[in-house]
Amino acid sequence: MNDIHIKGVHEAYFVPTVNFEVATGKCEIEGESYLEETTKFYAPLLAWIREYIDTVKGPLYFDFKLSYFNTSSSKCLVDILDMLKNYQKKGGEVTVNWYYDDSDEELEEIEDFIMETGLQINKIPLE
Amino acid sequence: MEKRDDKYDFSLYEYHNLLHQNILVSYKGPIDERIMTVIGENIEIVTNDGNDKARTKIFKIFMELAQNVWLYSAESCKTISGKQLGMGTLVIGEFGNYYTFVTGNVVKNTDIEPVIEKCEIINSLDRDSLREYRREQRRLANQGKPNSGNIGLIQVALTAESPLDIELTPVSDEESFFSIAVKIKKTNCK
Amino acid sequence: MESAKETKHRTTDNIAISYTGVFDNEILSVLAKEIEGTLSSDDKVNKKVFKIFIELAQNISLYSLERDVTSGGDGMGVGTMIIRNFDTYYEFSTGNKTTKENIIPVMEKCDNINSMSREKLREYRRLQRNMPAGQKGGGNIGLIQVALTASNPIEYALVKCEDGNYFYIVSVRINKD
Repeated sequence: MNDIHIKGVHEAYFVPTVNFEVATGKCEIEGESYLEETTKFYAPLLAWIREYIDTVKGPLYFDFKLSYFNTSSSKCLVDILDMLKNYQKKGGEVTVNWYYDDSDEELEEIEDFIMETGLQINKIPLE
Repeated sequence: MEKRDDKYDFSLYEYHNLLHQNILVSYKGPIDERIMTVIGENIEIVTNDGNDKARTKIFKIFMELAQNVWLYSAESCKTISGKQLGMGTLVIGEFGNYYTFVTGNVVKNTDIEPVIEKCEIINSLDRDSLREYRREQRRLANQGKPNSGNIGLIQVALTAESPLDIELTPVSDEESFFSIAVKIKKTNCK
Repeated sequence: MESAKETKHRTTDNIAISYTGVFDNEILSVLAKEIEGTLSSDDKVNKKVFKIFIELAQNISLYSLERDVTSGGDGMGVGTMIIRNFDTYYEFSTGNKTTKENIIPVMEKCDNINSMSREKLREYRRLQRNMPAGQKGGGNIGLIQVALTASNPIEYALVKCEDGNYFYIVSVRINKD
């Protein structure tokens, strides 16, 4: 399987920067997520995680540094978190860091993701 | 809608209606390059009724007048990065056999007097005199004479083939709201 | 707005940014950038207005009855967006044409959202987020997000137009504090 590297774009739509590495299990999604076809964009990311879990079976370190995501992106983010939670349940090693600027609303949103998925997420304020 | 605690009675419906009666595009807010680009493109799309000449005219007039708003508005806002941006209004409308293009912005009274004088001169001239006036002003501008650079308005009048409808409404002792409206006929475009 | 004279009312109505026309991707992107970068010097407030704008403007593109079909397909919705600046808050409003049948469920949804506490609203968002896309009742997180971001109720109004259709207005306040 291959790494995923997507360079963020801030034009009519906002594409987040994505870096998924097979060798290290390090994954990051950062920037802004507001896409023309949200599900289509996230499908290969979900497929990558699925394949990594099934074949590599290594640890996964996820860094989310999203300064903005719209509601349809949030659905896909929950799909990712659900997948990570299931992997963890089956004994996989999963670390998730979520970076946020110091607004209550964003903190709330992370807390809701935790509640929604049951996954432990480290909340890290951005400097 | 719930009665507001502000001093203005405002109905978005009336506003939309007022705007949308014959209005193709209307924008009020900070004017910068990207807004000019996107509104310019938008104007090209909405006036695309097969009359390329009218469309080109509107676009030329838009570029001249929007630039004036952009450069000379006295009402400005500060961007997050600290840049000052002029605020203004751009409206394009469609009425039967013509389009209208209207710009509006707050100006300092002292700045606008020469502009109004210029508009009055422009409106008093026939097409040939207007062309002569443009040549004369261009020569003066090339010689670096102050207050002579405003060929834009002459160009607008020549392109539109109609007078400049101007309106000045005081908003304070020093400032007024200045707007220019031009009609562009759909037919008779040479 | 045929003449120069009629344009002046725009200075006296607290409008910070307004737009009427086609809600296509390019204009939405530029308006979003204006909001993000120029609305106020408080980037937190700008971001809130920006988030609300993205959710509500998208509804106009998709659902406005009035459409511009020059770009082909179903075309893009036409509507109005206004941000007004008051002493202690911004007011963000959108308006577009619609039919009664289409809009009644949306208004019921607003009532429902307005009746909920913040905690309930968050619970509701979690619930909606887990509904599969395309399922009836799902895909409507936008309004919940608007209420949570604004921390204020969603006001709405429906006005009958001369052509028998309706004009639907949504309005929320974003406190400056």
